[in-house]
Parts: sequence; C-alpha cells; structure tokens
Amino acid sequence: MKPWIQKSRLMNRLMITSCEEIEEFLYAYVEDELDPGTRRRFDMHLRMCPQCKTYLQQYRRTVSICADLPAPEAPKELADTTMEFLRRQGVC
Amino acid sequence: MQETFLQAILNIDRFRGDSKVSTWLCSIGINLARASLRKKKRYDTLEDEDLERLTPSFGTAGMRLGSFKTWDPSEVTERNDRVSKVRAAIDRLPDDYRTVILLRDIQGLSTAEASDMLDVSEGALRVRLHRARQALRTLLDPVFADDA
Repeated sequence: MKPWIQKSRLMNRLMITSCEEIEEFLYAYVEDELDPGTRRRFDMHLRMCPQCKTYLQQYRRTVSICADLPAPEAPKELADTTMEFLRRQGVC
Repeated sequence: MQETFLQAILNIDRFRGDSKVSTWLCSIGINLARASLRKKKRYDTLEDEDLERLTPSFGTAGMRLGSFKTWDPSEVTERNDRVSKVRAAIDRLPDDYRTVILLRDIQGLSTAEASDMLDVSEGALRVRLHRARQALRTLLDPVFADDA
C-alpha cells in the first residue's frame, strides 16, 4: 500500500478529517451526548482546525446568550388565579 | 398570555391528564402564538427555505467555507442594545425554529419536555434545534464580530 494511503487511513482513525462531518456531530458534542471515541476524534480535529474551533465557540456562545435572556413570564396574579381555578377543578 | 389562561379554563374538559399542567398550558400558548403570527406576518421574518443560506457550507473535501472571528466575550446582558439585537435576531427565525430556541435554550426545558409540547419526536426536535442555533449564530455574527 502506498504511504500516503496508509497515512490517510491512520488519520481517519485518529480524528474526524472533514469539517462537514464535524458539523454532523456538533450538536451531540455540545450536548455531551457523544461516545468517548468519537469525542476524542472530534477534539483532535478541533486542535488542527482553527475554523471549526472558532465556529464551535460561536455556536456555544449562541446557546449561552439565549440562556442569559430573561424568559417571558405570566403576570403573577393571573397565573395564581388560573392555577387556583385548575386546582379547584382537580386538574392539578 | 391572558388568552392562554382563558383558553385553558374554557377547554379544561379536554385536558387528558397524561402530561403536566404546565406542558398543557404551554402547548395552548404556542398554538395561540402561531395563529396570531399567521395573522400578522412580519416582513422581516425568514422563511424555512431562507434557513439554508444561514447554515454552514462546505467546499472540497468537506472543508468549512467562510471566515470566523472570535466574538466579544463580554456578557450580552451588560449591554441593552445587544439584548434587543439578540431578540430581534431570534424574532427573525421561522416560527418552528424560534419556538424551539425559546423552549430549550431560553426557558431551559429538557428535550423530552419540549418535544412533548411541540408534539414532535425527540430526534426531530434535536435536528430542528441544531438548525435554529446554526441560523441564529449566523444572524448574531455581525452583532458580536463587529464589537470584537
């Protein structure tokens, strides 16, 4: 087997080589749902690819920015009155 | 929001008791909001097909296309103008994508709770949330990269 083919196969075992494949695993990576082996290959790609590293930072930041936003809430009096009504009806 | 509670009271007989009351109330709210948005469609809301150009693209050998700048690390809530820009970006997402961001990333519901409310499978919810985050990241890039 030619040396470059051997090298390419070795690289594929050690890391995810394409950014497109990284994108397929990105959600699971961020949600910590990846198996350890795939996670290692994912991390190895990040070490070699500044584009994906920055993209991942931005993606994570997008999630944290949303988490920082105040969630809309019902006026307390309205929520209390309704919940009391539902309790009286035996719903909760 | 008042309409949600009113509809809950009027439709109490339809509550089957196989989900939490909060889930049921949110489902009513989501359906009312969708109906309301359909009536007054805003000009700057993106369509589902627009989402394609907001998701990542790749060149030969699956290499990522485009350049990416590190975003300003300061907290978004420190600057009110940024909060309004983030809200405006979320508002531009198509209804289904805005809703999933609201439930999972803003309200902090679990995948199971959000999929229950939206009546979709957990797998479908994950795919939708990922696409929504990808699109939102692209919409937020000018806001945060410019300040970096």
